[in-house]
Amino acid sequence: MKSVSPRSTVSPRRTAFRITGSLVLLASAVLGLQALAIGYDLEREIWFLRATGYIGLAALFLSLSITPIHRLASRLQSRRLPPAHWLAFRRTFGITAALAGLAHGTLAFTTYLDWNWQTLGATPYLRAGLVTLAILTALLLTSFPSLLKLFRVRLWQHLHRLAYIAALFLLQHLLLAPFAPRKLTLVLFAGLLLVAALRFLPLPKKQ
Amino acid sequence: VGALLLWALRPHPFLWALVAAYGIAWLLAAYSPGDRKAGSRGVEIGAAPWKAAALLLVLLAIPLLRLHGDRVDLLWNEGLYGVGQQLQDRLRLEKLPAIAPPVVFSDHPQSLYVHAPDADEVSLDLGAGTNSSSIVLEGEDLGSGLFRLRYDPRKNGILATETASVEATLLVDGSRHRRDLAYVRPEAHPRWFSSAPEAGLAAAASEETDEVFILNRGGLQHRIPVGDGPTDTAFFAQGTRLAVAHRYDSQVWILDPATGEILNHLESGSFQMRVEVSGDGGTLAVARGGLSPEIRLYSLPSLEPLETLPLKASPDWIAFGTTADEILYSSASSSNLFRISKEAVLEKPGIWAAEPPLSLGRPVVTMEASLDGGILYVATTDYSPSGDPHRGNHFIQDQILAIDTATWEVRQRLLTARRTPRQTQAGNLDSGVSPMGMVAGGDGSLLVAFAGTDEVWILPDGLTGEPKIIDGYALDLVAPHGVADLGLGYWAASSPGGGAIAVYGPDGDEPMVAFVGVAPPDDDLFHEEEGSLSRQALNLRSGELAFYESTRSGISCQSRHLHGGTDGAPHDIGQTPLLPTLTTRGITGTAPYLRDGSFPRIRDLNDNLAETLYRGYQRRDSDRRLALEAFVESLPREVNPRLLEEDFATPASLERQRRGAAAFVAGRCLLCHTFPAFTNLSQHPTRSLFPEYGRSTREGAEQSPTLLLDTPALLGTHARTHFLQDGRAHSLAEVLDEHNASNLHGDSAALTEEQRGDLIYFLESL
Repeated sequence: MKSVSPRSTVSPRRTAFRITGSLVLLASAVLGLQALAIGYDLEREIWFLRATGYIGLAALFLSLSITPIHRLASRLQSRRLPPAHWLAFRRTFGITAALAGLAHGTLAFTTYLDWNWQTLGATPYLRAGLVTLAILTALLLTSFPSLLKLFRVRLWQHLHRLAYIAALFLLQHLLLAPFAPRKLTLVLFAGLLLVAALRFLPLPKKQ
Repeated sequence: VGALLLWALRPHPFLWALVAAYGIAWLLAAYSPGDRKAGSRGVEIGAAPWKAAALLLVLLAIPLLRLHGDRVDLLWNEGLYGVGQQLQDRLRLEKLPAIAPPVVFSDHPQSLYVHAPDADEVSLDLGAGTNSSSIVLEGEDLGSGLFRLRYDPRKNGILATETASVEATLLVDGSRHRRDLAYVRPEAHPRWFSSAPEAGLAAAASEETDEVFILNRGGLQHRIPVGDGPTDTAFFAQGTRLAVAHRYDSQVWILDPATGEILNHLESGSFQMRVEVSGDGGTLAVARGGLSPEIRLYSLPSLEPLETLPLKASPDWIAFGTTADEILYSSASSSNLFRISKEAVLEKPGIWAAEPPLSLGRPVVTMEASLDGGILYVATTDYSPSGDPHRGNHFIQDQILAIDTATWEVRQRLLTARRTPRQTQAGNLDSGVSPMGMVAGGDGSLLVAFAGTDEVWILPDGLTGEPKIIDGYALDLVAPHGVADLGLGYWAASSPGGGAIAVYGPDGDEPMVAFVGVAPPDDDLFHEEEGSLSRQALNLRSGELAFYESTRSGISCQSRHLHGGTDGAPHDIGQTPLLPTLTTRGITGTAPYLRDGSFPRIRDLNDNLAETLYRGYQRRDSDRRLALEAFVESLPREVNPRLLEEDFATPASLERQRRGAAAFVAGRCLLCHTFPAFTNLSQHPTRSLFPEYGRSTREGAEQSPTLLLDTPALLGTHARTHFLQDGRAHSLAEVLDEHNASNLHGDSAALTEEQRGDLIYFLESL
């Protein structure tokens, strides 16, 4: 009987989950420790809001960048990584973005916004954030095959194209939000745009 | 396609509505009956590509047209309309080392602030990129990476450039950083006159160019350079002497109007706002603003100091009553008229005392006493004897009041704004808008200049009788401010915006005797290069005229923004409680605007307020919005009187400012009021910073929880009398204490009493 190494039994999704989860936990620990040094309540709240926001932003950008980078990698490398790994990371980053977004939204609503739900719909940057969150939540719920099966969801790809729209709402959110640095926002989105352009690279012909 | 069609069925100009339509379309497609399997990529169109494209085009045409029609509303609703301006301003402040404000003026002392974290030395080289010699300003280290640069054109020199922008180089610990600053060099602005009809003379000061213009019945007699920032003039000794008050020079200059020779200097302290001579010619009054408002009295003609009278408010206008023992004054920051006299306290004759002020409801725009001092003519934008504001929406009612100085009562009112047969639309007000200057004639007549409608009215008997109207065609001056009595039926009018003065005679058909352009005419300015100071001056001229020009509703920018600032009076401008307008001074580079940051650019206020709510202007001008924006952005904030105080430059003062800056940082004020503009241009839900706000207001009305506040720049705090977004705090101490109960508007709870004192000292120094 042929022996199977334990490593090969780990699915790409699990690998992606472990790596991403570790990164998020590490980042959370570092940011949490830094937050302990902040003595002023409002500043600490803003710190956490920024931390969750940046984690969500990074995860969404990574998720959106996977496919274009995969295309580039496919053209550059003779030995291509299995597509399943790329897809697993894309999915995990997307889930992370949605979860970080939910944490960011919940924190904002319960601290800085002081449960002021009326202002959510009335203030453009908050509304943009809310729409981003709604899209990411919808994508999160349709990211699990069991749920897709349970709700008999078809055409999920069409729904997941809203990830790009979510990024645009995120841009609006950051351009109008009080504490978001505008320069960093523009640089990040310009970078994302450049990476996204790689998506139009033609795939290499199959041997 | 489906999403757009669904959106077009019930179009809401919001982006969320488009996403919601997409979601509904997806649900319909995903759960519609059919044999598509999970993971299917959707409907295949079996038609030829061109047919499919044509079908798509037809289906999309209506929703796309609708979307195009709603694009402006959509952008407004999403906070994206004009967002480029806000982005530009914010990026400029984020680019370290940053400098604010982004403008340099040629006509007054000013402070610029630089944020250079961790720097030890900062200096600013103005005009480094030009061939001419540059001006280097050394920065004062205020700690925490904040540096102040003080520029006084009189001391440091005027920039030798003819362009409307300056190549500035910041030297931060030896490294050079190029920054572009706007440069404003105003042309001559002759405003209000003093008259000596017995000598046939009149004089007007131009604060921007440090000049005095002396007129006779034939035209300009002298153009005399004077001290820094001349504000007012007064003739005495039967028109043989002229006193000139200055804002930044500590001396009153005495001139011989016949020769233009400077005869004497009278030490009187800076921030001289007005100068006036009593009816008997025996007393000269110099009204000072600044940190300790006062009136200094001098005997004439000897110019010996008599007395110094402290005032309750910074004076804007002064006049003598029937005797030299009675002085009346107004303040731009108060809706009251004040009177001080020696006779007020009979038990202590000879002691000056303040009498109860007379409530007008709005500040005085201009005022003039009759020759005998018995009547005081006062122009206002409304009158409310109780002092309570009228609750009419955007309520402006231009009028002149005749006040009996003996009984201290309003004897007569003349509502000036009226309509004429020239009107082209129902309800137009096109005459008598914005009375800006008055002069009382020896025969009991009153001449009034109207800046809003380009007219001068000659009222034959005070406020009684029909006025003889010199309209814009005969006057040939735009936005007139001052009028002067030259005697024998001759009079003069000034146009600060137009840079001109004209003399008129008794001939009714062709009254103009002489036209004196004291600034270059439009044609000369136009022929200079784009981006030059001349072209800038032309643009600012157009904008200044637009600022004073009446809309069809009889309201102009000037109506609420007195002298380009604010009238400080409560108005119903679409909110509760009533609030005063914000100042238009010193707001360049701080987009968006208004208390809630709802207007991304100044020009949008013209489009959405003047052109719509106020029904637009009689005169067509397609460039008005841009010119108005340029003019407002060229208005400097009021100079901090502390800058001219000797104590301010002492090491002890600088050390206290540093401690205040450190308290500013310790109080976490920097979260929103970031250096160097003391704002990060952000908007916040009001209840996020003031959770208690609006739950029980001073007027009992609950405030909307959706109310936003725009983070104000703290530069110019010294000039404010009310603080926070609705002016509910009356001092900075209140802001830090009772109006920050939740400690979310900065960590003021962490500051000691001493730190709070230092912080307030620092804020008042900005």
